[in-house]
Amino acid sequence: MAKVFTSDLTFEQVFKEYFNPLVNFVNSNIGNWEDSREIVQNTFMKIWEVKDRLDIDTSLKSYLYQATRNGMIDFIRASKRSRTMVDDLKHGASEYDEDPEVLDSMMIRQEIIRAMDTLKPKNREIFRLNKIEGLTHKEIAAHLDISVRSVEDNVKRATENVKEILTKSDVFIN
Amino acid sequence: MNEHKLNNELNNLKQFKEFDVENEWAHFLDRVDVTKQIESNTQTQDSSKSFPAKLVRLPRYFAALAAGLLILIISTIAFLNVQKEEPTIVQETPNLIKQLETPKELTPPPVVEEQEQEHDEVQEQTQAKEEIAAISPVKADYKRMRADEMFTFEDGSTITAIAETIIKLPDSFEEASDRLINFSSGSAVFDVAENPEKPFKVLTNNAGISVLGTSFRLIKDGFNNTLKTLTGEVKFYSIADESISTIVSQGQEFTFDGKEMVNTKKDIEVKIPEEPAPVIEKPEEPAPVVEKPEEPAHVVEKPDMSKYDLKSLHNSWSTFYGDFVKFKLKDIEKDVLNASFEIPAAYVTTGPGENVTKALEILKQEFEVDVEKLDDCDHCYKINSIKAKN
Repeated sequence: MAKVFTSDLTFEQVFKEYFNPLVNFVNSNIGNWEDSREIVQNTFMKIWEVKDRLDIDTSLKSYLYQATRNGMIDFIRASKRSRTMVDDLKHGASEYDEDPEVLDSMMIRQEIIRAMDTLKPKNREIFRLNKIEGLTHKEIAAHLDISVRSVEDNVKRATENVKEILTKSDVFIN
Repeated sequence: MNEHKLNNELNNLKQFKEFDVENEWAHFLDRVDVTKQIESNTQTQDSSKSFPAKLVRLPRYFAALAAGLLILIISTIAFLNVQKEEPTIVQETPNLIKQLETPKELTPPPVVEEQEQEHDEVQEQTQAKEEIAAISPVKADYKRMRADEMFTFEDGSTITAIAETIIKLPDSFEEASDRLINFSSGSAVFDVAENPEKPFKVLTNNAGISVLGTSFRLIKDGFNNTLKTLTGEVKFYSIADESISTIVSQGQEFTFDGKEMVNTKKDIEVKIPEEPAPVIEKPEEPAPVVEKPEEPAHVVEKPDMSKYDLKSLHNSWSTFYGDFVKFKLKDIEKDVLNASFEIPAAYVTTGPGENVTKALEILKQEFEVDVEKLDDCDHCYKINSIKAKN
């Protein structure tokens, strides 16, 4: 039986790689960041307890997705939340089990945030204000006291750079 | 590469929240340590007479024996060097304190003072180590309390876990000078029996709570400690720097993140100063809580919303704590959470976003609310004004 966690892929690496995408995935379902953090922490605790004898027949990403999703349903039950919400999650199980697309989306978003670190400071700030803070080009121009054209150019350039970095990233290969 | 997918995620980026994974990993390791400790303690208790347990203890015996022999040899050499003319000085020195005490009778006064200081330092260091051991969550005998589990002490004080809680509970408070509890993580309500001679203390890894007799709720999550006083007053302080402390009065809630102590209900503006608050008009009337003594304090509490200018109810901030649901109110303009209130969970049985809508309905039953629905969010509202109904 091959070990999931090895010296090439440690538990710590997996935790740090998947923590934020999983928390964002949970939050998209339950709408509470603190509870989402707790659910993902608990999921990793459970995996930690069996990590030496862990044998999975899917990809690690699918396994983490499914384990977190189960933890989320347990949490909702324990929190006496609505039956409807639990039923909704169960209903969605089959379509997510084979292809954890939601987690893919969260991982892509994480990669975009990471790629932003490589941008030039001004470029990065304009990109952040536009894509994360949700400001319009006009609002950014007023805020930074620059022209709208300059904002457009910066957003376009930053987007191209981020796309280029992500093309090289393995986030799309998995 | 899937260009369409990337463009889609670029447009949804503002919904992504990034936590500091280094902090999260450190928090995770803390939890693993505490869990290991619990398992280790359970195993030791269950198999205290088994052969493997003895094997585990053997290195400790050897270490203790070696330390004792080392002290004996060092003290013997020291005495022989200082008092060679008095062979009778060579005697048994069973422990470190005896070793330090013995030469002060045989050496000149200045040396005695130095050794006394040294002795004091040793005692201080030992005391400090004991205090650290008391504070450290990893070294103590922790137990896991499941949600709704209750523990009653001999003095009548109780601890009720709201969510799963990891905590150190002493067998007895009789011999101790205070009633000390170590709280590692979770959420629990403490109802403390009054005893002016023995303060009741709760220590987390970075915060302390000290009371004589009262009730309060403590939530420990990572570095954050959230304390709400249900009755009486509670001293809430930083273990690292006791100058960071505050008295949390009944109904108040403070959060300490290891650096700052924040009153989560303090930053709210008074919206309607021209209208006297109803409670001021009838100060002599008994509080409604007295009429329903059988209900737990956190359930009967009602927010005095008439004092507040609440900017919005945000759909991301409702949290269940067993019998009640806590809503955090977000000031959209400042982008900060600056108030919270609780309603009984029985009223809230829908999904998290719908809970906010339901909460707003409850608010409207008791208060005059001028509310504006936000276009970009299904269950977000901006509250322009709110005041008590006549």
